[in-house]
Amino acid sequence: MPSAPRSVRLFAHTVTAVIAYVSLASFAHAPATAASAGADALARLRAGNERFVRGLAPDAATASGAPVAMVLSCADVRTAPELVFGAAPGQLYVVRSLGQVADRAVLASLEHGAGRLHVPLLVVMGHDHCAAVAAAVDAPTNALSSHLDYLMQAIRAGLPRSADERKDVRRMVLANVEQVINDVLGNSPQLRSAVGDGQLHVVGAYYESGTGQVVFSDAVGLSTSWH
Amino acid sequence: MKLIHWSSRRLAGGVVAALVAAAGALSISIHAADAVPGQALARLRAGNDRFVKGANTHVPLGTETRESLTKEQHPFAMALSCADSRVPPEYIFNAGLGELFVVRAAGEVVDKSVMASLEYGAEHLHIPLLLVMGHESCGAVKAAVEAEHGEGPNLDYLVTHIRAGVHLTPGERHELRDAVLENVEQVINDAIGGSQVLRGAMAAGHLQIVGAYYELGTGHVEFSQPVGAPQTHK
Repeated sequence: MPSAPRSVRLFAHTVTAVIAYVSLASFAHAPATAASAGADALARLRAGNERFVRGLAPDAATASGAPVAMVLSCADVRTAPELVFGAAPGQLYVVRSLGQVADRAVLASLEHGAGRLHVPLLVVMGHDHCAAVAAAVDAPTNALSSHLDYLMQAIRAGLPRSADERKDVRRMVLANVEQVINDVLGNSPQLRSAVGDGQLHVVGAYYESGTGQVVFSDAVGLSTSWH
Repeated sequence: MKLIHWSSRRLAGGVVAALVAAAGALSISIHAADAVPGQALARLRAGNDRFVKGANTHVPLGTETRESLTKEQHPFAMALSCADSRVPPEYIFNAGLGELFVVRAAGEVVDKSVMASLEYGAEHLHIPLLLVMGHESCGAVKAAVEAEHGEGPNLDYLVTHIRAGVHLTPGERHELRDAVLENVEQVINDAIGGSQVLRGAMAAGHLQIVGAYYELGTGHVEFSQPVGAPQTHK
């Protein structure tokens, strides 16, 4: 699937260390209930991540009801969203692929979560030491298999071109998260309209595997190019 | 010849034929019911036993684990399972950070990004076992069996792939559990049939694949017989 045009900019590129707090209130046109559902979900993820950072065990009791959030994250062993967000079974709808690259089954999974399960928040989470992003920066273009080539191309599409910028892996990962969100919204009319209707909130996130800390981007708004 | 054996149900013919074709070309050895499973599979079984009994051991999550994992990772298994919130493999197998490489999509359906993830796990991380796990009350499988096409290219892709493995009998009530098991078989077929990298790893004896079914209520995981040779040194 071709990468969508890059319309959404999430992270402040001029300041590598800063990711601002998400202001879901910026969805002024969204129904209040949906907006607060997204904000509540994000607050729960933040609280769960704080517990994880402090080394506290996740809530083991199985949650009832619908999942509070969807997380699209990497297959990497260090980034299990349930652990990172201290979430009980039943709380997080989790889609994982290397480099959080979204081909059709991944997109359909997110559409299933938003459209049929009415999950109010999607977090697209990259992480430090991401081998997939590092490989996309370094690896020769004719890699190993058609699938891995696809993955490398999808990741490369979002990366800055200059050699200086490419030395900064964190910056590469943030660029990849932006690209994935662009791809997701660009290739899924359902998710686009869910965001437009205020039923779904999308935020980018970056997981620091050493500290366990997750930093979140601003919420994604739809730019005019989506309409 | 049957490649995937479930203890409690007969296998559907068409799916087996496809898997046999994929495996036969590479002379993958099939293990008899009494074959000793690889160490990775034993570890998954043991972890699930603890989970079922409510006797979870403390899993490594803290700062020390996190710091050591920034330097290297050696997952003992990879799991391809559903995006459903009730089926996190880390919990079901009582595993901590660094132990499982986890790929998740609704209905465990394989696409290019999923396939690339599995190939990376086998080829670069040398993970010896791939677990493909379906689960009770799977909404994605249920929706695919019941839904029509026309929900857009992505969901249609999901429906098409799940339906390819599910043998619907007109007029007869199809148990969801059967459909989920058939889907797991189909996913394994898709993974083996579609990936030269995975086929190569299996033929070399580096990778074993096992199907699984997770019961939400009991927490119990039922495993199929593994496909492919376990590593001899394990």
